[in-house]
Amino acid sequence: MKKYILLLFAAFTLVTCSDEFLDEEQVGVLKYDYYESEDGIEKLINSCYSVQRKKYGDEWTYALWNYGTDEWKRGDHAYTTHAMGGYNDYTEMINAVGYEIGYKNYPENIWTAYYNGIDRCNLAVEKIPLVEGGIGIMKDNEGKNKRMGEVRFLRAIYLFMLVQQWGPIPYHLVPSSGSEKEWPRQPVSKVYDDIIADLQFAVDNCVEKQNDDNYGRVTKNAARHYLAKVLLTRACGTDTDPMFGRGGNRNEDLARAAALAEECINSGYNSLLPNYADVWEEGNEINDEILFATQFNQEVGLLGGASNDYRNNTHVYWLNQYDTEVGMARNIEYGRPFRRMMITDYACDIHDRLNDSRLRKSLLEVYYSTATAAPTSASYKWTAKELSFAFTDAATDGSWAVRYGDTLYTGDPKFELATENPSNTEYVNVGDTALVFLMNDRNTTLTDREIVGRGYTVFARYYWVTDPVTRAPLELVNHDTTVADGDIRIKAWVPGKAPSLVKFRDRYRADVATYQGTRDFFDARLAETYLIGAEAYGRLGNYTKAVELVNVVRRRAAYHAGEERPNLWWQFDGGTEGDESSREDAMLINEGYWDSDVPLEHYTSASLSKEQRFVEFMLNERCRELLGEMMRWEDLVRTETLFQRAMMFNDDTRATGTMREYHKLRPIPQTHLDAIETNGRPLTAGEKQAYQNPGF
Amino acid sequence: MKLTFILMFLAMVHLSASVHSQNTVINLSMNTGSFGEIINAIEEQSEFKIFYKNEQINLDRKVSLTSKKAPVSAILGDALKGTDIGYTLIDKVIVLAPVENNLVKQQKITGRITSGDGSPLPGVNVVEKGTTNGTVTDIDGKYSITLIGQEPVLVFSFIGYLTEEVEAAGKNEIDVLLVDDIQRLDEVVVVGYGTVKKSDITGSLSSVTSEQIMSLPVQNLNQALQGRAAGVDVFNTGFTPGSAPTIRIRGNKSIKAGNDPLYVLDGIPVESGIEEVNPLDIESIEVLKDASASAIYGSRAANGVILITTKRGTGRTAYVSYEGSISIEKALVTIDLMDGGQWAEMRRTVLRSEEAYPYDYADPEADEEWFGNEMTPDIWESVKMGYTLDENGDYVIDPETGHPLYDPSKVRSYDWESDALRTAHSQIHQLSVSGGTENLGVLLSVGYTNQEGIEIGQDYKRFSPRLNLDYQAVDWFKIGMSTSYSLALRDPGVGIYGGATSQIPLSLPYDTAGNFLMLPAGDDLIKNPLRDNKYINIEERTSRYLGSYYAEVTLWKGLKYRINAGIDYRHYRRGDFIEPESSRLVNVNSAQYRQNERYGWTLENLVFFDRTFGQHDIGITLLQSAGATRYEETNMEAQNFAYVSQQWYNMESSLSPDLSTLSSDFNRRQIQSYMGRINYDLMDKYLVTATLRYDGASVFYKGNRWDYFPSFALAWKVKNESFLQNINAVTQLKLRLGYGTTGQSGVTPYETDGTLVETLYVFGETPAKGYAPNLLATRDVGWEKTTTTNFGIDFGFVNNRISGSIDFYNANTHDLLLESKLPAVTGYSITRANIGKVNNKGLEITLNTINISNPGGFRWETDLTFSFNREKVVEIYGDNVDDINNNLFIGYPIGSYYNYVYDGILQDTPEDSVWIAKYNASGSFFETGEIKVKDIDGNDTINGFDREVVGSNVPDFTGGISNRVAYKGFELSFFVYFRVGQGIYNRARVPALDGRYMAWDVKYYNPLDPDRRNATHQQPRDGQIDFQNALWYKEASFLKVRNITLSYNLPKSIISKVKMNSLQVYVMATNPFLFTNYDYMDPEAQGRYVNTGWNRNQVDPVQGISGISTKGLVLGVRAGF
Repeated sequence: MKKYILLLFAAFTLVTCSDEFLDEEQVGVLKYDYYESEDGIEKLINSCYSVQRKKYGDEWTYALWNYGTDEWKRGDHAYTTHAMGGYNDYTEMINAVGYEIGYKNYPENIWTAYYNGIDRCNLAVEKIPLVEGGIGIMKDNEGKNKRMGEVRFLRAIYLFMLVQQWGPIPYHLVPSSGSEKEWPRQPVSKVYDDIIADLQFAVDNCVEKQNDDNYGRVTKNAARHYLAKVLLTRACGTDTDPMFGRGGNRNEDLARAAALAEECINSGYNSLLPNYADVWEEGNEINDEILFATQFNQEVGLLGGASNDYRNNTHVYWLNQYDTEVGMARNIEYGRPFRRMMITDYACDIHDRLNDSRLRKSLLEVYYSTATAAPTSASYKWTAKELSFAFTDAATDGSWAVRYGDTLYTGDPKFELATENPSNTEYVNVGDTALVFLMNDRNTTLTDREIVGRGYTVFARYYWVTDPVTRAPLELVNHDTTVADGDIRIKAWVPGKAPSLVKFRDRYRADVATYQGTRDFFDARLAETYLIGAEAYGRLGNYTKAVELVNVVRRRAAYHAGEERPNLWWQFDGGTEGDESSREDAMLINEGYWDSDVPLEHYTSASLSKEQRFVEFMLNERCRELLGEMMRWEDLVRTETLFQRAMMFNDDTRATGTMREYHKLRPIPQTHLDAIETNGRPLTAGEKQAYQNPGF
Repeated sequence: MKLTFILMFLAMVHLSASVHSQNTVINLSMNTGSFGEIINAIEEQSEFKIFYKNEQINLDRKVSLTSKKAPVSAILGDALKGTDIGYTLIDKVIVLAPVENNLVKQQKITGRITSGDGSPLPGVNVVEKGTTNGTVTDIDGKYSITLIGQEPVLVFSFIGYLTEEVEAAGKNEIDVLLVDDIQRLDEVVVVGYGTVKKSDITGSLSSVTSEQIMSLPVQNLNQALQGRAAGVDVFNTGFTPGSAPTIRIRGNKSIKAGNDPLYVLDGIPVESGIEEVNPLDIESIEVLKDASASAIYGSRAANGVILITTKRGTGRTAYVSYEGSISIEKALVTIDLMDGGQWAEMRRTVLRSEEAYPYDYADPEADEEWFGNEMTPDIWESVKMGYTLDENGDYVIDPETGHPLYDPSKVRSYDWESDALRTAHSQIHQLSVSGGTENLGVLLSVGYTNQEGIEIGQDYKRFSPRLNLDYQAVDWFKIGMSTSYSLALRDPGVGIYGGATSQIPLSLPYDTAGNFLMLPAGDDLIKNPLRDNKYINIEERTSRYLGSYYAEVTLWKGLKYRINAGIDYRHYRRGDFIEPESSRLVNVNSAQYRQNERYGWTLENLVFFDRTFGQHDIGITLLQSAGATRYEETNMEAQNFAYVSQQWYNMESSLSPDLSTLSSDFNRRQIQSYMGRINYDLMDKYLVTATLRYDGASVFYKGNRWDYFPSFALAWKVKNESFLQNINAVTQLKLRLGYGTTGQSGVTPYETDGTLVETLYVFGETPAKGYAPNLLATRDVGWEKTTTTNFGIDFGFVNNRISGSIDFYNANTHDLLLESKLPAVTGYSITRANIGKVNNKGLEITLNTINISNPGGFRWETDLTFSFNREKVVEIYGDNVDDINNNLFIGYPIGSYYNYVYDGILQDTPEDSVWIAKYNASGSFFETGEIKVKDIDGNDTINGFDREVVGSNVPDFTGGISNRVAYKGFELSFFVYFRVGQGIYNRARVPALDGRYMAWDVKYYNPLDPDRRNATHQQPRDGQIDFQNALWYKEASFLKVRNITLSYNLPKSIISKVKMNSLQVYVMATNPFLFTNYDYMDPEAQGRYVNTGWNRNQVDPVQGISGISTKGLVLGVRAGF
């Protein structure tokens, strides 16, 4: 018996372990001490970069940077009653209390992510000098400073975004312990000082060019560009409030900005691409014009999950509803339309479309049929009535008509190519023109008859309603019209049925439903550097230099010799079919351009001074060049023109009428006000109000 | 020796005794002598013993004998000649008694005792009332007794059954059917680390027996608990075969850590997934509800403990049983969908709202445009059938209205729903053999379940063998084990029902040539799902091994040492293969292969000391234990395979391997514990239980790992006090008071140490994954704790004809691990801290009544359970402010729903016009026909402040009533389950009504239709509907008749001919009736829980409900050999 007891007590002692039994062995999960190694610091720096992706990850991407401006207004899937629409119309939904009561909290998303990024950068700034025994780039101080330059650059652009959106912001430049509760707001001028110091460090220490393996890391030119932009921004401020004033010395800042821009332009490391469209060509994201871009690629494993905020989701928001039209089915070519955005009249009308190629290159207007199964619907065939309305040379009974030399009969298939092949019994072929969201203007001669006669669906911006008998134009409209006894409906642009911005479309995704975009998002490209330099010079009164720089951008924007023009160019922009002559010279301006009013520029008043016209011209030029590139809201805030221009050029904002001057800043998230303390206690309601931005 | 004692002894042995010869020859040395001398001589010379009552026999009487040498019988005959005394010779005993007693009054009774299900009951005590004359039944339940009394009454008693008394006068055969005593006061119940007599329980505990489990064809244990145990709320999140219901004991206590109870199977705590245990193997389930009972499981017991004991082999005779059932099932509640005519009218209403449909009646030309041109020719054809055509094919005009004659009921409507459903056939089989020898008990069982889902594609199969052994090696050493393996194959289905019910009823799945139409409605987003079962394959395969082993050594009187070891191994694999021919949005085929493995072990050392010292009963239990759970998983996904047959078994054959997804994970957690318990019983009246558990867990940081979980309970057996002893109406009365603390960890492994999170980036084409600080180290957090006070009464009246318990409790959960907010400017939004508080209080009633118990065999019993729980969040972050984002509201249950309050549909009335104008002036966009909501704060603006808690998924009360009526071999029973006061929050309840998608048949607003002005839903129109989520919530109380069963036990006389012990056949209707005020699908299913975020008790309104509830008919048989 003793034998058994001994055996059993042996078992007893086996499990009578010490506390060590409860220690956690780290296997798949990393913890803080990883940052004691060079490898860990490199991974920390990588994580500093990845914060950039947040801006492009979800609805805030357009809601905070393009909505509520003169360029873009609401699509049909962004109602006023929904939060995203609220960012265009500046309704109460975007105020801090709005967040608390369940509206989409886009500013808080960005606020949280960017402060997280700043903390990562702060930690990296603290840890990089402590790396010992590095075998990679951080083996010496020079290498450490290169990385330090990258991290300080990132911290600067994160702070720059925050200060532009919120004004005076609370922040630290040292890593957080998580326990700090007191977070006073810092004056805007101090934030700019810190940003400029960080960027200057990056200009001084970063490399001129990164090799292919490091493409996307900060370069000197990226730092120069941003530093010039920050200085220009600071110099545009007129507020002298100790908290809200931007500080700095205007002329010194402008001069320094201009010099930095020229340094960047002349560095030899970057240049403009000859054709504006090439900048946006998919697969050509790495090109000489790009100074700094948020990096994505086609590696699914590096794009995050479908609901990951750090994906590139910009490709969906700008697309309009093509897929419900005859002959169209949703596909990867035309993308997943979220119908959030509609271009404003202003953004359409400031283009000299005869010479300037940028608008048509930025918009997707023409859709070719994607329907693989041919519907047999009657709407694919010409009706007698349509024929009778469509063409001038029609049989009086509507049984035939002539279009572009072809005679069409009642019952003929509608789509273009099908008419060339009478034996084709299908009514629509893949590849036929099926849908056009037609960009034209008030000077158009397009009539309702021509729209019907086109044989494919057209949503035109403007068209003439004609007299049913005399066929004389009666009225220029930009809304739906029902012709005659109601069986032909002519459609005009409406939210959701308008051109899409083509810049971000992404046909390299796995399939049409996939959110995770594969394209780099360009944060800074050389064309903008030219515009920054031009604006800095112009604001200093040096219009010669301003013209010189801006003309480089405009020359590139023009149609070039031998360049094929879209059909719409000779149909609607005043061009001639087959004309491939250079339009560059016509695009160039001279110093006198700002001496008087130019109707194309849609200046906000005919009685502006030259300085004012110059500033508005620069905003127009930025709109033309940078349409939709997530800069407009900040540009308007920078130039202190947001309220005026949004109310003037954004129909939705004006119609809702709730926008106020104070909307140039975002409300501080309520969660922040609720979480911070003063003198060891939470803020009182009054203190929260005082801490909050004015008006919210 | 006392005669009666002897008689009893005789009765017990008479079956096996052979008759000793009454011819044994006795040689007497005298011719005359006293009767006493003769008796002495017989006893000396033979094995006979002679018994008599002294007052009846005169030993001194002189007797003269005719022969000195003669058989006993002759000698006794001589000796008793002339007296009124006779003799009876039984075996080796000779009884002397007055002649009339022996010859006239001696009455022999035989009979057979069976239990309710008709099986024989061996070992039943049969005693003649008022005497010690008695016997026990044999293995076949048979007995035979010779009565001695004048007015004999037989008392039949057996542990676990209600005692029966039967008048025996004038009878010679009495068969008795003994009925289960639900109270079973003398029975022992499992309480964790041992057993206790049911009458000695001090805590709050519910028991469910194997009979109750077997009364319904359940797929898993939790289903068996529904409505059976007060305080235990069991509800479905869906109805897919093989899906396990959710179980809550006395409400939700934790916000982040989960609220599932701890399961202990044959003494070993096991991880979740208890649905893999075969319910037919279960002997009993005990639910430890209050802290005084569950605190012995300390840090894991906050949500209650469910102790499961499996059947074991006993007895020396092998007992073979077979249990089988087949069932057919159909949908109980389906979605009430619009038919073709209704849908067409809905679409017209939408078009009219856009002024695209110029007629306020149905017009064929407009219909051709909107149903034909804009949709498909098939759809127009369906609509066209609603019109009347003349012989020329022209539309007939109704002369009264002047409009085309149109009858919406003639519109063609395809019944997509029925294409997705089927009549399901299921079967359950279980074969078990139990028995043993003196030292060995064995139970071997094999169970097989094959359940078909009523939704095409869904099914569930489980194969589950079990072996339980107990071996008494020597009298002081015993070992044993219970082991089970199960393999479950589950096809959760591909969602055909959801897809089919999204189809436009006007559309057809196939064209006239029989070709499959992928886009029946001509809409890219409405894909035909009917081929999905062929082109999508999903298979879940779960293996589970559960083993519990023990060795027990008796060291000294009352002192025992026991070691328990447990293994819990589970492997889960899911494979998905999707082909492009399916309705999923894929261009190429894709496969997903996911598996995880969980291995847990437990080792426990236990010392028991149980002794009685006079009136003091003392029991001491000491425990030391350790355990660990290790988890790992791998997931892979790839697409574009060259051939289909590989499914997910050849992932490397992907033609686009660069799109493959790979992930894996690992974690391990350890726990260590010490526990001591003292049970003290004074005079069988005053009971005290005190426990103290000390637990340490690896998930906490050093220094915060260990904590104490004490409990204390008192019970007073009032019935045993002298003042109640003679009051027969009270059979039982006991008061209980318990107090204790239990815990729950609430954190995941590794997180308290501060972890990094992976970030994604790329430099050019160079991957640049990063690691950023994720959570701050939270080294000071510790256990979430629940402190419960429980007061209970156990009672039994009128010979336990009415019995039950009532419990009141108050459970305070404190130190809830929540995410305390940090200013985001720190770089972190949250950290973890022990800050929240939740309170649950409630009342539970269990009542068992025997309404009729007729000696003729008619019997009616009713069991009732009723639970009432009030759950509320007391504190979230200490600031008394609701956390709307995480759906937590002070004073409301954890699973609350917060929204605008629906106030009808805006009518075309002056009042509503004023209302609309008023709120639109403050920035709203209301229109007639839209949803009206209440202005809660009355500030003339509708905004987020006008939301409030509209309800919760927590019921006000739940309960079950079961009734059993038995007569002879027949039994009719039914079971009713009810759940009252909870709500369902489901987006699908509010269809888009946009004329594009399918909708269920809601009463929407239509200004043209007088019947639809007083509507519940908005006017159909395209585009976003404001405030439609105010309609998501709906109260969903219900009462369900879970089953009605008629069973019949075949008489022994018949089945014994085929060598069977028992045979029962039954027919059962499952879920035959549902009574509810809920209007969209079955209110029992709450929908799936939100699987992101940290309030794990929210039901996701978007997820919807998986599976359709069923009703069915079951035919079953139970046979014993």
